[in-house]
Amino acid sequence: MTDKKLVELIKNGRHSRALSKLYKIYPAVVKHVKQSGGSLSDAEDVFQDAMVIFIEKAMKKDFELTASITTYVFGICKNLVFEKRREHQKDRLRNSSLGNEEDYKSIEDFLEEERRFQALDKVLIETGKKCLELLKMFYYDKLSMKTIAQRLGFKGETSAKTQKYKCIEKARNLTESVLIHSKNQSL
Amino acid sequence: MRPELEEIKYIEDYLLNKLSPEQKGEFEKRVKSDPEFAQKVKLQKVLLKRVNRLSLKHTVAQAHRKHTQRNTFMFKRNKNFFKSFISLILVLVVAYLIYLSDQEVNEQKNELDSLKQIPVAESVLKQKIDNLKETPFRFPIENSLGNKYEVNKIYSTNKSNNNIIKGIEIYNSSPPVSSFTDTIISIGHGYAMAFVENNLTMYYKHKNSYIKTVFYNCDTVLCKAGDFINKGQAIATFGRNSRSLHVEMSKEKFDAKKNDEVEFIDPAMIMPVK
Repeated sequence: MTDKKLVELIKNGRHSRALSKLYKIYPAVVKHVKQSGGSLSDAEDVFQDAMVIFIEKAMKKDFELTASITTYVFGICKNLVFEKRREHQKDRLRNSSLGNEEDYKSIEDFLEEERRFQALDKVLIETGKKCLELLKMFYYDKLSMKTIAQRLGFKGETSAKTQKYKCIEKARNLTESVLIHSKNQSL
Repeated sequence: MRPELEEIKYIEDYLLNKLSPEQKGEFEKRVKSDPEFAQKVKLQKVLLKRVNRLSLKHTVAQAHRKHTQRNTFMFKRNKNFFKSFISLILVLVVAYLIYLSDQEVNEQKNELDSLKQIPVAESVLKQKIDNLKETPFRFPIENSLGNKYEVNKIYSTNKSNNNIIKGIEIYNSSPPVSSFTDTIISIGHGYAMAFVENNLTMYYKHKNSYIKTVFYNCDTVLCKAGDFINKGQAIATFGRNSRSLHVEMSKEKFDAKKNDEVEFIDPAMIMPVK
């Protein structure tokens, strides 16, 4: 499969399919992480994060592939390893030789966001599994309300829709309280 | 829908870019003038982003699990295949060696021994045994060789931790002879139930009870599971591997309930031990 087709797959939301191709890069990443002193679980974390970063990036409308996907993903992984170690050592020096400035920023943003919303994610997952499933189906899987209603056993499309808005309301209230109680109040 | 929910729908439509340009302009105007509304929009935007991020992470984790599982499976399968191949060869070699060394012995062995001994269900034997004539039990060894036997009791503890007699040990105490075998003889009319790992189980009847008798340490069995056995008939031999024969007996009343505990009895109570 060409890189272009892979990006098409991601843009069309067929992430599982794309991931099965993307995992061909995984062994090389494991090797790299181990060589730079990391463990297998470090490599697992780095690669999974890199997959999230890459897919989110590829889904953006203005995304343009400037190198092969392998190089691209490997670059993200390298930066992640570096960034995570820097975080660990609290060393604030930036290594400018790693990738271009913009890629670097997206990785920093990603890690920053993950940190900031950790508490929120936990609450979302724990308190509203059913709601989260519904929201996932609608926003991420982009299923029609009819299909969602069928899969989750709602009486009809309307009641599924109402439930969805209720879920958002509930989640929004949760988000508010969590964000106010956590140290990071800014959004 | 409640007005709160209508508002959520309104914000969602904006975030998903479903509003017309005019509506969009109106929406953005409100955000600028209404800080409370702006905060709601911000929260909902964060929420939508997190739902998408969490969903994607979930998909990635699933792919990861699938990938790593498949790989370990393939690795294991290869390793296992190799292992099982080697062990198969080993087993074949060992089996052939055993076959060669045991061929003579096997030829001497009673034909019945090599027959598959499939245990007979107790319920089947119970029906058959009901019509049996009851005779007093006898000692299970025919002392034709002039051997001396010592009989010792085998003790055990039951569920309530009391000492009970579970059976007897019949020990051939005569001076060792290079090769001797003793014959075990049926203590009464009954049925052979099973022969498993050198242990022969017989089924008898005694005073409104079923008596299950197990002879441990037999060498060769002379009957088949399910056979009707007359009192005094030879049922097995012992003495080649062990000089002592263990006899255990348990009693089950004809009208026993399912959950009743198996009751061991002292063989000396119902059969002569000399």
